Amino acid sequence: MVLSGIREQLGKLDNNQLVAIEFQKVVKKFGSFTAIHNANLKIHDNEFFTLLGPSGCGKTTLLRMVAGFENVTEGNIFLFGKEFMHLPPNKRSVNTVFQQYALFPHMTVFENVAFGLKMRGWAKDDIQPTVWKMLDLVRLRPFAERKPNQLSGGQQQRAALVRAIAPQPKVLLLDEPLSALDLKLRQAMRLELKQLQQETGITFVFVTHDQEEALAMSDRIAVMSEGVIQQIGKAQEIYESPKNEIVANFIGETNILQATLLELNDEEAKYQIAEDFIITGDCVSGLVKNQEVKILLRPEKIRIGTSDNQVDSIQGTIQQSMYLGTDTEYQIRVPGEKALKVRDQNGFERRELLPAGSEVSLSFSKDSIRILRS
Amino acid sequence: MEPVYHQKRAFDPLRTWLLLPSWVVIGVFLLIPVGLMLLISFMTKEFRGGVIWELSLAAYDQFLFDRGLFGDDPPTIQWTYIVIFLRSIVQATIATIFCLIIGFPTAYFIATRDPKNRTFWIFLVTVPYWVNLLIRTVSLKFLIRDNGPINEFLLSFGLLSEPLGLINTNIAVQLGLFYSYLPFMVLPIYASVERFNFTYSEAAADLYADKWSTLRRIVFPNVVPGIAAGCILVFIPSLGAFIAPDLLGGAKNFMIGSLIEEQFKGNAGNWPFGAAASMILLTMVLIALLLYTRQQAKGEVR
Repeated sequence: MVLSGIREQLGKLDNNQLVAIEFQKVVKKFGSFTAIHNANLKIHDNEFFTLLGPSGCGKTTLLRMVAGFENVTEGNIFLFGKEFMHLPPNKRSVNTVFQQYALFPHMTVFENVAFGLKMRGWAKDDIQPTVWKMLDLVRLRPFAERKPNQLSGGQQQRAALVRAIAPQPKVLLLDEPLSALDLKLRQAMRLELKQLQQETGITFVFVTHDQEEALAMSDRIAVMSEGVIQQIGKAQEIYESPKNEIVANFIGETNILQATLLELNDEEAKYQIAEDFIITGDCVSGLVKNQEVKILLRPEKIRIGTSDNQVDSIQGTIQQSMYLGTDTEYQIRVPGEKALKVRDQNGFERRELLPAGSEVSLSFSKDSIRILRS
Repeated sequence: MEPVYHQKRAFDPLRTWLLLPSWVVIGVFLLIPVGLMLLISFMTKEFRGGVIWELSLAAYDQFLFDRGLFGDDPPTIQWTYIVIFLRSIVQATIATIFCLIIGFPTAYFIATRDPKNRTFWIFLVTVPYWVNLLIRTVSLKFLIRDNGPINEFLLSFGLLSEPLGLINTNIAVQLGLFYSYLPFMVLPIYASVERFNFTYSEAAADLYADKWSTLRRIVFPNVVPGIAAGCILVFIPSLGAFIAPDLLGGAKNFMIGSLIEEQFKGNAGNWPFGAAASMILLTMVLIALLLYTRQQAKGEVR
């Protein structure tokens, strides 16, 4: 591939993985507003990396700094170990898929895809076959002579994608490229994007506010909030063991309970939420007796009904139920707290919808709860 | 069941009444004057101005053919007026090009400023145009004449040994036209650059285009409608202009506007001839516009 040459020369990670982009203590200020606080991040070569966060969290700013549309206020960014912040956008071998695609409206799909190659000074004879190959990759050959406004949203999306891939960038930056599509198309495109990344071997840096999208496609995710990178990790890590409340709240739904550490031994600890609501969980190192903690409980990890000896259980009263198809969401009143959100899957066993006011017992396994220091 | 509506729109008196003012304006200020002009161009001239209501092709004949002093020689092509016409076209074209060269960067500059300040820049462009065109042209004449401030200044510093001799030349007329119509170029281009989505420029830069390529291949094609509008708005009034050529060009640099103006001035004029010259001018402009719109339409379809 394109990168084979560089692979050899550049600094490698400990586990022999090449770093495509490295942010070192990057700070970005717009006037008195600090958009990025001290970002440190290594994106590996050949990785599908996602910057995930609510709008205005600075994820797009990070992307635009790599592309060259914003400069860094402090710190530095490296591309395969090399400094490149001094280069203008047109001298950086990274390409961007823009949120609204930004396909040139006066050019055909073919001309759009050929543009980058032409600007890179490719010979006409080399451009033609490459563009056709790219259009075939996303099944746009029949639409080559159309203008962007004669394409559907999904087709525009794919055209923008191959336009950015055609010049064989070292890194592809994708700025919320799926947000303008409707749900079905978005889901189909997820698969296609992931496939494209694997086929081309290009490092993808994907920006989104859609956690489902992030979880589905990414090799690794960085969760951002208010200009700070909160956590970096694989999808599962981020979901199962969020580092803090912000991450827990942003990724999926979660019940956050205020609790006190009641007693602890080497293996487990008991956390008291209310007088008759005590949960057994892992013992987080450094905690002492009577310390205030927060307990994170995912709604789908709470079981309604039968309890066995392995898990804790408490009694609750159903306040409200919401039937959502694949599962049912209950608001269940428990001692001490207002209400717990519980998701009950409508799966293999047929379940009756529990009416409001029913008394149920809820059980939690030790592994499904996560303790955070307050 | 859904009610069935009649295909034909019912006569709506309100609609008709609301459209009436527009029709009256178009009729009174466009159709009637042009019709009158067309009519007069086919009439016989009266010697002290005005017309005799007798059908005649004399006006067009006079424009195109020379039949000698007494009108009985075999007709040869009359070059005098055709030359004036061609000169007008050349002058208007050059003025348009000048306006474009200066107007495009100006408009681009304004459109890329902070939105808060754009109104101010536009305001600056329009300030000189609060003064009457005639007065501005006279002032320009004063500025560029042989013993005017520009020449005096250059002479006194020894930068010139003799005056530039700008006045009464084609260049002076150029300058006058350029000065008169520059905002008509700046404003439409400004409007289309302002509407231009600069994400396209970013996308172009992202795809390795340098600034010049981005301007030429991405920005320019997308603001062509504004440029075309600006060119039309400068070219057409320049073609028929008479104040600038009269005041700055003198007799040698006669343009079509002055020729027409002269036919209706005092009692030395020739109304049918002026009307015929106007009709020829009008026809040419219409043909040019027609070609342009057809070109545009073709571009849309492609």
